[in-house]
Amino acid sequence: MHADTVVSDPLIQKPRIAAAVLTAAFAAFFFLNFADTSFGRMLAETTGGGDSFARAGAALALALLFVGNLVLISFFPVRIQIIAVWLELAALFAAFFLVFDLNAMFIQSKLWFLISRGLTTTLYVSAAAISIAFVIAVAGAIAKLSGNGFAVAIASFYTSFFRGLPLLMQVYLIYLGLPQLGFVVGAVPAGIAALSLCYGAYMTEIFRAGIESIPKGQWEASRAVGLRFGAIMRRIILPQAAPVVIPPTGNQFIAMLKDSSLVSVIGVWELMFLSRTLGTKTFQHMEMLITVAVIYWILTMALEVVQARIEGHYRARR
Amino acid sequence: MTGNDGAPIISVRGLNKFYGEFQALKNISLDVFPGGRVVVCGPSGSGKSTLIRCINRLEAHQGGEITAAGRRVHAQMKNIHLLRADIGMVFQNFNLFPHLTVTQNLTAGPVWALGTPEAEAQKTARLYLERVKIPEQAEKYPAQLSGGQQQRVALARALAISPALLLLDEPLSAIDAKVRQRLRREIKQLQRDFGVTTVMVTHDQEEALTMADRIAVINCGRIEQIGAPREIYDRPASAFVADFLGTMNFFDGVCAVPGTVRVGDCDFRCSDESGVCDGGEVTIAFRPEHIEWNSGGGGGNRLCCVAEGAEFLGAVTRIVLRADGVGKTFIAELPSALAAELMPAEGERVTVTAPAAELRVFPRLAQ
Repeated sequence: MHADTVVSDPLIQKPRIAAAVLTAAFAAFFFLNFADTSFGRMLAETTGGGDSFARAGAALALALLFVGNLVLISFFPVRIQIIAVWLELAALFAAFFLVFDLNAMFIQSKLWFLISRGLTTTLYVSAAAISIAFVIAVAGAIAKLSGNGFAVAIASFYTSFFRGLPLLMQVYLIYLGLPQLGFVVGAVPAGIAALSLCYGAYMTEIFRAGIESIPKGQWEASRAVGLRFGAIMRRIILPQAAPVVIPPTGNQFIAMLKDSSLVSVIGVWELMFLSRTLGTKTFQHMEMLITVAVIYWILTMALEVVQARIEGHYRARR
Repeated sequence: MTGNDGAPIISVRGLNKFYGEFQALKNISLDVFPGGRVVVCGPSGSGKSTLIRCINRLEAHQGGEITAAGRRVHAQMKNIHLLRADIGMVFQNFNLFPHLTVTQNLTAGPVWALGTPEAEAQKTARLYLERVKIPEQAEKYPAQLSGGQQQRVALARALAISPALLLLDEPLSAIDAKVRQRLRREIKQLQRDFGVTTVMVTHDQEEALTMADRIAVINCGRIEQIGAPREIYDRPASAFVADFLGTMNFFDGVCAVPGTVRVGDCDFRCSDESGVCDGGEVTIAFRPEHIEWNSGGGGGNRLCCVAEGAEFLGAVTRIVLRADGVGKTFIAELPSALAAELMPAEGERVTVTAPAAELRVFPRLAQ
């Protein structure tokens, strides 16, 4: 989006808008009914009002807090606004996790194992799968655009099949199905194969679109200086398709990182598998699940930063 | 040199090209001789770009024969890239490689297609960048250059593969007027220095007249006339050619008596060189600069006119006149210095002469 050059006051600072938001927030909080929370009970006790009084009072207090917060933040520059809202939302989530009354000692005792075993497995399964998927995608995209009947048919059948089946089913099919044909595969190779085949299918479409986005003039100019197909692809088309392809590929990688949790079903000791097994003995499922959730989240944020860097690198050259 | 001796470097015979049902090129035949500067010109959609794109087979043709740089161009040809590496091409919208620097744009062909060593290719690239006068832009990316500079890079890229033949597809159309004139002269200089045979496509008549030693005028996929610029300007073969190159006044008339065309109430006498004039419906044509003012000369067709307006174009002034009895306005052009003296006021009556020798007669175009 391209910002206009005309600046107007933030909407929330206009009294009518603020009043409307306040009313809506009050209605929402009243509907959600906070009378039974500690805050609502405290209100009911101190004022001596009834239950419905507590419900309305709690809703009003929260609505005022909410709108006041919005108005206050709206006075700051955009950067500070973003940081403030992030911190507030993070605090809300932290509060949500704290509700479970987690055992910090237990988390601490398992954290190193989660990272040294689970995280590394998740990372190398994902990295191996995305690398293979990348190769599959380039080949698949070229095949789809080739005009060769066999190549087009094989590539389109492949993308149709692997995009059409749930990933979980593909994991089972490869791990349990291949031995039926006489190929016994380990859990890790099977998991990597399933992930790379599935994501290769999605990325084939991304790469096809990327290659197609390069104007025909680039092909003509490369042919006119005498380049042949391989050189045109490698030197002219793919390097130009890269900036088009990288953002969606980054998304795929982030998605794959989390979908790699599906290979836990065949016993690969990655994050998800460990999070379910480590807590079982002492029934501390929530501790492990939340810890792993946070690890996934941090990992994703790190990847988003990397992705932004790469995109920036390509944008600088335009 | 433009001598028609020796074998042509491009030979096109009976070329046909279809886009589905639409026939883009109809039975085109054209020879280009070594060192020649041929300009293919015509209006947009006439098939002129298609024609030169068939020569290095960026387009497929469906009938006829093309031979270029000693090779027959056809669908099953082996090593098309070797032919293309022998033909430099410059595109209207440059088609530079945006992810490569200017130098890399120039070395792409030699290094990645022909296997020239990198260092040697870079040396050649520097040489050509100096020749197109942008050596200081060598390490920039295309997006950092102006339109004129980009087209210089495209030109250098086409020359850097040391082609036997240069195809220029409307190379100057996307460039603003002042730069265009300078580039036009520089391209001519490069052609002279490298002696490279050139086929250029343009819709700009001035470009065609200045850059060609031979012009092929193409219309609706058909070549209407091939000849030297002067010849085409002075002796256009058809009303279309006459109209396309330069400005022309046209009157529709009937040829009742051989050698005379009746337009409205006026009779126009033609000369022997005017064209076929022996009956039937015809169109007569004369150039605005051939109108003579107030000369009662015998060889001309006197026209009593009313001046309807004038356009000052700098060096020349264009005057719109309405001839009595013809019922149609026409244009006369004269040097502005002269116009300052002769210039009739609007509505004033003047007598001018259209010399018989300069009158062209064409069969009437079907409307």
